[in-house]
Amino acid sequence: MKNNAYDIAVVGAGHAGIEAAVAAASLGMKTALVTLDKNKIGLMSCNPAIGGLAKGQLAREVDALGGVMGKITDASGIHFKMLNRSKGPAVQSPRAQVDRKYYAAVARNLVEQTANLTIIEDMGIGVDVKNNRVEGLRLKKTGRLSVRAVVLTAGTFLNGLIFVGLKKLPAGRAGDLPAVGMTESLIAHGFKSGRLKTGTPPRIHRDSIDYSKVEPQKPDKVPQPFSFSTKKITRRQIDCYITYTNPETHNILRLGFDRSPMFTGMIKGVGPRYCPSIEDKINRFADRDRHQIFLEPEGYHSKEVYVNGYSTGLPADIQERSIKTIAGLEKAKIVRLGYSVEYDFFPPNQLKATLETRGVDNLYFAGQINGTSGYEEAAAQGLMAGLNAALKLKHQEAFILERSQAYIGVLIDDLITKTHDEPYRMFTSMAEFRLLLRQDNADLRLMEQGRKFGLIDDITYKRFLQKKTDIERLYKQEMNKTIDVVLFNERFAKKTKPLRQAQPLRELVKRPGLSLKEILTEVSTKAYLDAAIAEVEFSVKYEGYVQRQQRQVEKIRKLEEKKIPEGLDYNAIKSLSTEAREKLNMIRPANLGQASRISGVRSADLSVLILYLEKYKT
Amino acid sequence: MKINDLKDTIIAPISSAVGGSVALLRISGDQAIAVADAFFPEKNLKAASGGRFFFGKLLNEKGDKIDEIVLLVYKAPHSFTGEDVIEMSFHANPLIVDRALRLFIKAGCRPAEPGEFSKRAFLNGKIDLIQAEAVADLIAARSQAAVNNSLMQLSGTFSSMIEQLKETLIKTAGLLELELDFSEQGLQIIAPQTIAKNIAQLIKKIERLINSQQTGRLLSEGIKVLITGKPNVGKSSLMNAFLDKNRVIVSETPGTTRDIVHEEIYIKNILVRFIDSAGIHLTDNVLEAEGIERARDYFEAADLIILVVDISEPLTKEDENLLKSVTRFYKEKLVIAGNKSDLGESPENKIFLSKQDRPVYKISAKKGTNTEELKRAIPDFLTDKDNLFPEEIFISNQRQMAILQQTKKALLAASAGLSEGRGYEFIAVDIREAIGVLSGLTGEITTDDILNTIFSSFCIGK
Repeated sequence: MKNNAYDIAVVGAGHAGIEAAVAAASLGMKTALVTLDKNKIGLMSCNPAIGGLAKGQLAREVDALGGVMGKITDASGIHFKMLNRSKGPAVQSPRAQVDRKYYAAVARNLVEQTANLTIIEDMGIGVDVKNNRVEGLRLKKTGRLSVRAVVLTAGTFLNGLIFVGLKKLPAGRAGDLPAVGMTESLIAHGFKSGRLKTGTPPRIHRDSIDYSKVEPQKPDKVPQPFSFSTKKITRRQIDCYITYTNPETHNILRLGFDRSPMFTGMIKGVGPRYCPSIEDKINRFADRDRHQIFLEPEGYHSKEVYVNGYSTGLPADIQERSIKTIAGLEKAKIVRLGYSVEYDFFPPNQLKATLETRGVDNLYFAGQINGTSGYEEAAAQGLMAGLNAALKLKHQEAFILERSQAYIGVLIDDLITKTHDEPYRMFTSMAEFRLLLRQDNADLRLMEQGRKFGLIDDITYKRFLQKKTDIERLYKQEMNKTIDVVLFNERFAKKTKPLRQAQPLRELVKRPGLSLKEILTEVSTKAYLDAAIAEVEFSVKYEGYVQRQQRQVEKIRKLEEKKIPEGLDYNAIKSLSTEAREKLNMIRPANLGQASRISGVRSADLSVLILYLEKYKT
Repeated sequence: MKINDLKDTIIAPISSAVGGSVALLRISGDQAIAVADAFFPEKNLKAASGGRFFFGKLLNEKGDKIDEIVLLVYKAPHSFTGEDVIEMSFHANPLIVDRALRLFIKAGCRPAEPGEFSKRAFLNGKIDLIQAEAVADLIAARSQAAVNNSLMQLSGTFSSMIEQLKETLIKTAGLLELELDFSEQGLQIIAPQTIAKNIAQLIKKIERLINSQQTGRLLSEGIKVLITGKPNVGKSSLMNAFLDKNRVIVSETPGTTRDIVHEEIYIKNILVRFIDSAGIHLTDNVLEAEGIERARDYFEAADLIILVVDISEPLTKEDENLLKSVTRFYKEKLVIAGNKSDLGESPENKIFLSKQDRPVYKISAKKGTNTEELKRAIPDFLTDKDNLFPEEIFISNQRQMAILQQTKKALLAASAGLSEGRGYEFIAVDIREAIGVLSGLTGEITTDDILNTIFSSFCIGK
């Protein structure tokens, strides 16, 4: 192969681009990663944190499949916390503050160490398409790369425009140039584009905080790693801080509402599920006189503190004045104002479930270019796009996750079957099978796949097999054991009602407040991995719910199994409503399950489709 | 039913097969207008706008006259099926109708399957499932109230009621999900007590619908009334007073009423059917188990039992036996008619009757005293007065009932979960399930199986 010839070129080295490039290269593809600036590989443009509700699940899934986000986080995390620790496992999510600079350094190092992967510092300005297939990538300085597939992960850079207060500035991110040319090239190839906005809160100087007036928020005593390959986090952990807004803060913020891009209609489609900005919060929860603010250091040595919960599109004077009303921030010095960035995206209904575009073969989109928000959402798509690009070039079967298998499946299915007028952020409520898709069982759901791709190392895989064996042993050897009634009543008198007759562990563990681990110590001397105990405990304790979800999965699978032929002519199906026909023509679902999730496709339309497909088969 | 069938133009008589002076034929489908136009030469139907009617001759392919007909043209989507539709009124001679049918079938129309017009209306989004079922019910309705109910279901009143239930559920689920997704921000968006309250209210509403099945059955099948009592106590006289005629033989000799008389009358637009009690004998000497057993079958079958006693004389052993055997299992069905009030009231009976906690009417069947009051009260005894007549909707079929039961079950699970202090992620499973099940009521997601089950209950051509 010539120097400027690659199997796969990935444009953009953010969280999507890194995953795509590393996965593709690891699958043996000669891969180019195009970035404007090597030093900004994996840079966190917004909050220097990975995880959070639903996002933490995504990050764990990426890791279980062999992605790199979890590993980088474990190497650079400075404040690990399992959210919702007091609640059930299905709503617990890991989250970690990271050292922003160190994260980027680890990411760059990891990319540079990856075989088959070349970093090119340049700007992608267009793609060449021949016979409906991408075959070239045009770069501003380097010229043309000859490629067999392209993964576009341009983030907020396509025609990026930053709003700082009332000032507008062409930029992909504060301090970086926007990418110009790519959008126009894609439009010329028939793609539809749109504009989206996202925002970030102000950063304040760490020495301008009065720490006596804010509550320290401690990290977990035993930090739980993101990656299944990390044994232990040994890095020093530091505190974050909590403070609150007050009525005065809210009054000042309200003064700026008439200059808010959101309330003046510049940001559209702000729904109840998506409320990151402080002005939205005080507007929607008008009866609350305070909101929680997290002060998060951006690193061990960074002077910047991220004011989490205070994301705002309001003008500079309002930011300055309002923030000083907050306890502990009376003398706060804003080092960077909160800002909004507006950028091009490509409505993702132009994609297949592999993230390949329907319009141009071997061209893949991942990350914010698809209208999503968040590092984890980006990483998940990047990984899936990189894997699928490589699999296609290797003539192997595409890798698609179902909604019941992973948050990643939910994410991509939502992207391709729904219409979006605001950035898509992952929430647990979007996963109808939330109880099955837990952060603690991401490995059980996905690691075999990752191993098959060669992305899981031997040690990690061995530990995974151990967990599986332990789970089996627990079911077979322990769960049917009974415990002596007297012993049980003595030992657990304070926790639960006394036992009248002996019951097996699988019944006892269903009692609220009793953990499998504590009962197990009474009946067994064998050692089991905590992760295996946790898995069995959940499955048995919530058996009824889990079974119901599984039945639902089966029901939906039946619809998913009814494939819709790719070239189906919806115009020929007369009984479809006009709206359904338009939507179906636009989104082109691959199966009836997808079709059923498209808004505007009514029950009658679905019935018509079912009838039609029955006929089509024969 | 296969998809190709949906492309066919179909034809069927849509009027009753028996009686009447006019027979109606309906053609629906792409070719409806062209096919009719070919044999209706006097007018250009293809150029006609929808909603017009024409009078003229229908000719066969040889040009012979089949009949003079009135023909209506409906243009898609403004028709019952949502397709182009032709409706023709013939003189109701089976020979004429048969010739016309054969003519159109030869011209390419296919005979419609049972319920196919309604099925097309559903598939074309003209009606939802509840409305489709209402069409079938409407045709079969036996009383004005049942007709009203079907009409209400057809107009979507019931569907929108279900939509409201669903909306409340979706809203509750939404708040619950919001709290789950923003729990890290320490906001309490909805308290468990509030969810519990919402769910309790929904369960109540659904229970009311479920309970309305009884009313629904009564309205569609009629109320079965058993008039019982010892021989010669005035049962037949009472029935005659109700029926306002002398059809049942009234005899001074006890036990002359032998036939099981099935009389049907309408009281307040409700069909009421009287079962005669000739088979019941609980005389002093026939107290054996068999007699009681047989009586119980009658009690079981009846919706309302009017026990007639003679208040002019002290109650006999037989009166008491009857009373006992009814009150033992069917107390809620019992109404006591104290007959022969024109002959005075014995003091023992006065005390006895005042002790009864079931309605007591003192009447004179012979003189017609108070009988009209008793008659007019019959529907009221049986129906939940809060839930009927005439605006309230009731459940009339098993599919709807099963769905409501399942919804209730899911909601009960949610409310149990809440009282056990389970996390919202579990409550959400129950509520989502309830929403999913409820959605099936109006036909949100249906497989062809379900569709066919529903539409196969239609008679041909509805």
